[in-house]
Amino acid sequence: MWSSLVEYQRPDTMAKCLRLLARQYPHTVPLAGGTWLVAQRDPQVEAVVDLSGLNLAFIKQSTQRIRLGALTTLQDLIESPIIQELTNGFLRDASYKSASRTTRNIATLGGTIVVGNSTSDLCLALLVLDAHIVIRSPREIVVPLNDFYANRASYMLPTSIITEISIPKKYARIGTASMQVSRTPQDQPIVNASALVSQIGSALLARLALGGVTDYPIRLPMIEGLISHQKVDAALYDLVAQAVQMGINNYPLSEYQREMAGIVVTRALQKAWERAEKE
Amino acid sequence: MLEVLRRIGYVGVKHGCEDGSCGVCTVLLDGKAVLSCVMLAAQADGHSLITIEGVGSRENLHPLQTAFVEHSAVQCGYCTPAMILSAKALLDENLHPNEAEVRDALGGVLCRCTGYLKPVEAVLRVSAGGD
Repeated sequence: MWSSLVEYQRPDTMAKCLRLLARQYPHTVPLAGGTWLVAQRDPQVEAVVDLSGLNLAFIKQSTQRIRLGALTTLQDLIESPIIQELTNGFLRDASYKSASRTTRNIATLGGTIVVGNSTSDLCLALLVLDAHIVIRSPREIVVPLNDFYANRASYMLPTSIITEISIPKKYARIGTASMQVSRTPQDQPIVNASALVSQIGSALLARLALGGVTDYPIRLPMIEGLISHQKVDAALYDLVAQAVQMGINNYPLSEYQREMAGIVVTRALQKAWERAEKE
Repeated sequence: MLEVLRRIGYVGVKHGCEDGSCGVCTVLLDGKAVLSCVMLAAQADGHSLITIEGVGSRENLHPLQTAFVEHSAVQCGYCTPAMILSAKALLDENLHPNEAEVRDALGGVLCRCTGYLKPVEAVLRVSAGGD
């Protein structure tokens, strides 16, 4: 029973939605799929604004980008031919691993990003795909996902909603991979990583993301810069593992998590590189 | 949604975890299996909603219900309504799923009794036209 909830609205325009969210009383929050919000039953929430009337469930592509509406469900992502083709199913597989079918049928892409579970395979995949998000509050801003997580409090105001996620189609001859350590294959990861590698001759451009070491999933831009255009060999992988462990040195982690973080990033990078070579 | 459904008499929608973990509260919203414990009743406005009460009848079981009985796919029975609905949603969309697809469809419903073996067999039998 969510006893504090006294009002439900389903506006059909963005303007109405933003007006409702801007109210001070009752305390109003946006509702996407609800798998997280309704489960929380936050006693401070008095009203919800259902976003399903705003036509934010779509998957479109242009020559440059793929655009995903924030209300697109995770199952919609899996079933979309556009997403299946993207990076040989990398984003589709990440969506599949995120949740069971019954949850995927209602959980949304925007909701998953806002919740920002540190070990979310989907969020990690979006990070390495250089995803950008569009936020309305009421002005519209476009923010790299990496930046959003690093500065979430300043972007997600009480009156803000994510409307769209876009992914560039700029990579050719790429390989992608994700790795995790968990108690069982179905469990939440203890640490996990995603990698995207774009091959240029024998050297690489890499995008790396790591989950399970802090409150939200993180990109590893310093390590990406370190290995950019470097020759891929055993020494490079050792460098990556050490750099990851040094980079998370100040996080409150167990020795096991720290060591595994370096290993999952390295293995994800290795696998992504192997796949890029086959392209 | 779960509380409202049970309050108005649809007690085939089971009360489990209240946080979307166990799946026993599964209903079909526009033909898709969803978790009623993490949805508001108002979200169903304008959509079709089917509970287990809308599948088959005492006199005329749905083929999935028959298959579950004949394959001994029911033990305590608490998760069975949710499994039947999840399987129905799958077969309504895909008449001939493979085993992995059946397991994915049933995977959102936690079952401590059967180990999923018999429920999966029952669904595959229906999809193969055994009923």
